[in-house]
Amino acid sequence: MFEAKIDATALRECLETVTAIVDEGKLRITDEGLKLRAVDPANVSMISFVLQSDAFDEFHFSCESEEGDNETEIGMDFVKLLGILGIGGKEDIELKLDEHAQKVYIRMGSLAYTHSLLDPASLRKEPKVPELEFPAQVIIETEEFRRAIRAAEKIGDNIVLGVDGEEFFMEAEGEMDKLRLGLTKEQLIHLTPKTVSSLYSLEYISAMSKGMSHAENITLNLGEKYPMQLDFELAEGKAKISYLLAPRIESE
Amino acid sequence: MIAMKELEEEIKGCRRCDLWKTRTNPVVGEGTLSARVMFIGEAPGYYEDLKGKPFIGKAGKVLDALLESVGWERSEVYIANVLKCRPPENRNPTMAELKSCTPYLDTQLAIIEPTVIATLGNFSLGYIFDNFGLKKAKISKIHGKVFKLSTVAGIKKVIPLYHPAVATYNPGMKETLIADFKVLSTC
Repeated sequence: MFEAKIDATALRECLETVTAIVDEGKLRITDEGLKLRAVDPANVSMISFVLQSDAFDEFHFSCESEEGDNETEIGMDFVKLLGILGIGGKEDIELKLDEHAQKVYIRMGSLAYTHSLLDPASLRKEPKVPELEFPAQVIIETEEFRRAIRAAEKIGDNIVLGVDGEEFFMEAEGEMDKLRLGLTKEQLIHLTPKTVSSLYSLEYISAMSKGMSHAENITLNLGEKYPMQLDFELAEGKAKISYLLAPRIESE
Repeated sequence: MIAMKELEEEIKGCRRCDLWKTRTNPVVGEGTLSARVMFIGEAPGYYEDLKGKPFIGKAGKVLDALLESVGWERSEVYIANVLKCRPPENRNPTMAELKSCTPYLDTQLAIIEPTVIATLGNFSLGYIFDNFGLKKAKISKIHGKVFKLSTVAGIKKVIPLYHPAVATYNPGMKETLIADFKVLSTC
């Protein structure tokens, strides 16, 4: 049994972080809240998402599973769900899961929507989280980061993110033009002084940038020719999101 | 090990498409779960369906010879197919069958985490290239070429190979396969 009530904006913002990486996936409902871990079809990016139960105005969950694992797994088309929620207003959203019918009943004010679930068996299994150690960490205002990404989109397809001593930099290079954003430790919320850099696909970072647009700050965990982990929070710190992005390499 | 055993049980009881009605045995895969190289074929054939093991017919003999040509044994690689059940009369898989069955292959890839994925034939090439966002091309243009991928699970290499069955119809192709396996052995 799962029944919950949540602020519409908070749920929409959370779904936007998910649809930046995957269209559909397996959502785990537990006493602690809603959890998701998924990779995009090309295995280049991963999202780890937790929406805590205390982010909800009401959250009632009890597990009918015979395996005793105290969680329910449902398959959801997040893009479709977000599309419908986008039509609704600012009223609270009420959710009610009918596991036997494999449907979620959603009420937004006077609008009632029945969302058919996907068969979890037809969806990719939850990926393992790679063991990674990041030598450098940068905390930056989200808007500053997003502005640099928007500018880089006009220059090329890739972007270098790195730390050079006490400076965090983002560099994009096209056939003719070059763009560089350099921020010193003082202009950032936090920086671990190091010398590392990695090249990433702008296509993926742009999608992530949209997903994180409602977060105040983001934490970038970086390494040398290494995956990047982007952490941020929404819903007053009660939604925790991590994006992982593989570095770009040249194909043979 | 448990994850693969669970998967095997799931596949044995699978009813996601109609192929279970006509199959004798599903063919999950064979080899070591710590394989560096994973071969992916198309679907079980007549003998594979009877025994529940991949590549044991004529094409399997060619594959064994190719493995031997680079000093490898089956026990040190992993061999699977895109489809786990034999399509009647070895017809091509339908889109619905592929959609139903490929989550099993995705799970195998996640369990084994091979560094090198060797596709055998067009269906395998199509699925893996789509899956990893690689630009598809005719196998005649890209066989034996190494495609490097950066994924969240690390660097992976994909090498498209002709299906070993091609050498049973056209013996001249065996030399091409041997040359491509040499490339594979250096990945």
